[in-house]
Amino acid sequence: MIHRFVTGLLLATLLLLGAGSALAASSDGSDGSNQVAQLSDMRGAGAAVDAANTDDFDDFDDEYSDTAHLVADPLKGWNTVWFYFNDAMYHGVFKPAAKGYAWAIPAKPRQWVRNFFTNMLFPVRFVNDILQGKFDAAYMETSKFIANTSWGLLGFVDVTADMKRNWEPERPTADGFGQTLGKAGIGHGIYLVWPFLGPSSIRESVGWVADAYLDPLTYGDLSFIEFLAIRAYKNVNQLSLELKGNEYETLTEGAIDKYAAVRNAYIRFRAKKVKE
Amino acid sequence: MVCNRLIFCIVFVLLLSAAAFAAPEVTPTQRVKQGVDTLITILSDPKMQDPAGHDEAVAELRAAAEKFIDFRLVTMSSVGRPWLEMSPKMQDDLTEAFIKLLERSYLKKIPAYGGQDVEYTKELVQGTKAKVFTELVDKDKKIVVEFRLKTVDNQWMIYDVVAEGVSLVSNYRSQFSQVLADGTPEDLLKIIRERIEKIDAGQAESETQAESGAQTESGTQAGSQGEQKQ
Repeated sequence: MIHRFVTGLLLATLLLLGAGSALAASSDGSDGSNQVAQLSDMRGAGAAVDAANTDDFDDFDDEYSDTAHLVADPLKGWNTVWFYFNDAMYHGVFKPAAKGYAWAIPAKPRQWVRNFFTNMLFPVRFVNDILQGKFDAAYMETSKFIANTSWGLLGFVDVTADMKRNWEPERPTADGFGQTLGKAGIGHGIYLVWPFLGPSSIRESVGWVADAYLDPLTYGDLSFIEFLAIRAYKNVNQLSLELKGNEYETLTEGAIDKYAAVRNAYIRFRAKKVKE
Repeated sequence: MVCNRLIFCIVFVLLLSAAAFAAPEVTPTQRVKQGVDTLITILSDPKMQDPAGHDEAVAELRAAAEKFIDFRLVTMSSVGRPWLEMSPKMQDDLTEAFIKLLERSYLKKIPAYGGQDVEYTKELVQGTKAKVFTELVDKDKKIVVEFRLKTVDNQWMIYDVVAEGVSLVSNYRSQFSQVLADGTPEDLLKIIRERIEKIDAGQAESETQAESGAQTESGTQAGSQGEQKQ
């Protein structure tokens, strides 16, 4: 059964490879137009050359004028409650747990656990790579998945880690169905913050549900509590490897309004993922 | 005759504008590289970690940062339109407070990323503005960081840093605008200063914590979805 699945995947990828190289050419083209778009973003830059400090204010103001309406947030009150709940859980429960866990278990085994979970989510990345037309990334993911699942002991060891440079795709691999929806031109709808899950939006939440269908964990013979425990363990393990130089902390430590800072960063980050 | 005079005029105007548009000798990429290298050198200095020489190290860091980053432009862009109605004194005070906040939060985090290779991938220049694209390459991750620069006194100065699509200026603008919509510039100044005090207090706390529970952490960097970690 698994053999047939893997062979099928291989065949599909081989068939798609031809299309992939065609895409590589076209994505070069789109990168070029991207540059032009970014350049035209800087409108009026030349006009303010001889102006005094405040005269080129408009020029700067234009550049950031979209900040005020990045995303609709009609449920702000509700979102704020869950945001601060999550923040308290992060500092009060998950971070201490990750610290203790990091103290007890050396980094290597924790990296194996992370690799295992990453490897297991291969279907999510593969399907979304295909849907987004990132065939080179789909090919890379498939190669990695096969190599790591077989020689890498079910994905615990990332045997391809040092080889990555050799097959780096044109664009980063897909990260989920929310991104695919964004690529299809669908907006966020409204901003949402879920308890435990963190910042999201209608679009990204739909993406999460779709991704769950491709997550092997969903099909495991698990009770709801077991499922939650595994998810929590996965996240604590991940956090234990990111205790230093952690983006969430960097962002919120310097913020005077954590909620606004995270909302802005989340929407900008997703926009960047959709663009790539 | 008329023709000659016209040509003379055109040439004269061209010469003048050439002088006005004279590009700085150092390219934007070179400026960013100088800045990044200088800051990493200062921040990697053991003196930075040593409580005795801490104030001195921070002063050095700030002096170096001000050579490459135009903090007034950073503050102005982050405040947005209300900046125009502020008194010069308020503008100065806000800039000063904002520098201190950035110094304590973002600047100090640079060493966490310092061990990685920085690749300078692309440079876009238009008029007096430029964008420099870099990639911080770790073993299994790549963080895209974009620097935005403007010529100030014939020199490229950084006014925004965009990491993984998240613009520092835009991020602060989203926070400042709410405060300024509900209150006055004085309120904003007060909130920033309170935040600085809180960080300073927390810093002392976490330093003692680090001493009691010394543990080595692997050099693994945070993923690009840090905000989804909970």
